[in-house]
Amino acid sequence: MPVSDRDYDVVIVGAGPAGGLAAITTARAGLRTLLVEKHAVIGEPLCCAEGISLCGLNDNIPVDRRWIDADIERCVLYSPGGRQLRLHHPDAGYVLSRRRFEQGLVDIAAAHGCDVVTNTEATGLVADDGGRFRGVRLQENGRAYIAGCAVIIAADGIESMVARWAGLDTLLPTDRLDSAAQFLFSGVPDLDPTRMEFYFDTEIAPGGYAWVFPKGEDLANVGIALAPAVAGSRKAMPMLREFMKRRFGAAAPTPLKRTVGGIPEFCGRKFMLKQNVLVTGDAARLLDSITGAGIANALWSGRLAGETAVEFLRDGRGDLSILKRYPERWMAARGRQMRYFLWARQIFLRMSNADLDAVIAATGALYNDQTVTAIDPIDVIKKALRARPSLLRLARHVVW
Amino acid sequence: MPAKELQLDQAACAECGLCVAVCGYDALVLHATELEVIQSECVLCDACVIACPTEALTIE
Ligand SMILES: Cc1cc2nc3c(=O)[nH]c(=O)nc-3n(C[C@H](O)[C@H](O)[C@H](O)COP(=O)(O)OP(=O)(O)OC[C@H]3O[C@@H](n4cnc5c(N)ncnc54)[C@H](O)[C@@H]3O)c2cc1C
Ligand code: SF4
Ligand code: SF4
Repeated sequence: MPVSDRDYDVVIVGAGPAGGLAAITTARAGLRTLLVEKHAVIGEPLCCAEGISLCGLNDNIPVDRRWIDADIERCVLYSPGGRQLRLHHPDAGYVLSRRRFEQGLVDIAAAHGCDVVTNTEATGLVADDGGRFRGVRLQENGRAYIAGCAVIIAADGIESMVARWAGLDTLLPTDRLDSAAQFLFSGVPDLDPTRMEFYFDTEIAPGGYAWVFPKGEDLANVGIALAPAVAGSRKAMPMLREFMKRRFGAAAPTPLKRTVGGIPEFCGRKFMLKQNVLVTGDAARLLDSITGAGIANALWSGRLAGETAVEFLRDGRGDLSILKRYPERWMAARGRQMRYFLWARQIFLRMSNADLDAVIAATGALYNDQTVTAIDPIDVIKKALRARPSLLRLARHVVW
Repeated sequence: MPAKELQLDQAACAECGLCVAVCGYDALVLHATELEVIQSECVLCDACVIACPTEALTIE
């Protein structure tokens, strides 16, 4: 086997949002970049409900309207007893077409000179005697080769093997994740194209929630996420069918597409770096532990990993300590909120339907029929806890 | 009675990768179009069965 068909400065494994933005960042700075994706089509199969906040997208990349399926202005949270928290926020965010979005990111990277290979699976890393990684083993239609490089960016999502090959124990215990299922529907009744719906009920989605996200016309992503640790033997896909009966009654629309996947809990910074391997997005478990949102964190971490790789190769003359800036910067930007959400999740997992009713009623009284232009999620959680202080006792044994 | 094994229902599997993330024994590998079960590595710990959203995995 040749040691290398071609050498690169950076090899990025995985063409999701994290890999796409990392590739744009390094290719635009002039680094020789290779982006590797095992699937034939970028953005497929989809494992996502495609919702993102306005700043989560805009802060990371100038928005191309072709990526957007719906502009979100309202969110409604329903409690088990029918209470509502109605948020009216004119610039809340978007529902993306991840298929077009991810292809769009890859096209920008390619326009900056990034080499992109699809249908190509990373199967291992090559290390030198000092433990530094010198390349990625690739498998393309029976052809095996090694792409040599100075930096590797792992953007290979929840199933990340690159992080494990680098020596990180990214194993997810089942009490640290959500398991999710979703259908894309057409012909959804009572659909407001600017409004997201969230349903909280320990019977509908134990340890999680159900959602209806509009996708333009009469299309919607309808799904649920549950925590296996509290759901017992109940599974996401059959529970989604139950939720559809409640939301749509007998008039349930026909599903066009099925999506399932996992949502890991945030694990701190410990999976973000090993030697010269920078781990991003879901591979590093960088998700908001309350909402399950990971696209913005994937973009953010992909961009910072790319920027740090540029510094390492331009000014660092290979000094590995420069790469430590990546987790440091990411935690400085996102760490506070991520840790707070992780703590709040521990309370959320222990909440009863009566707790959910009380919290949604109390926060509803504060926000309903008001137009808010900036929502600090930490502030909303604080207000909810103030409304039901007994919840804090649920957090007594939380260690983090 | 034959020994129990991890069974995969290929038709139910959506190739989402969640089971790979919870397997501590590298007994599952997700390729572009299929999930591979490496029975020799599997210790039947049940973690992937609990996590899978679709009931694609069972131990029988
Ligand atoms: C049902 C569901 C709903 C969700 N809804 C939302 C939502 O509404 N909003 C939100 O913000 N987040 C949501 N998330 C989370 C979000 O989907 C992820 O956080 C996000 O996709 C992470 O992006 P990523 O780039 O890190 O990884 P991914 O998007 O998973 O991309 C990883 C890529 O790497 C490729 N890859 C993996 N291994 C290899 C290999 N060995 N060789 C080559 N390529 C490889 C994969 O094929 C894939 O293309 C949801 C998740 C699920 C499961
Ligand atoms: S968790 Fe289930 S659906 Fe997902 S890849 Fe594994 S077996 Fe398939
Ligand atoms: S049963 Fe346990 S060891 Fe076997 S594949 Fe599933 S998670 Fe891995």
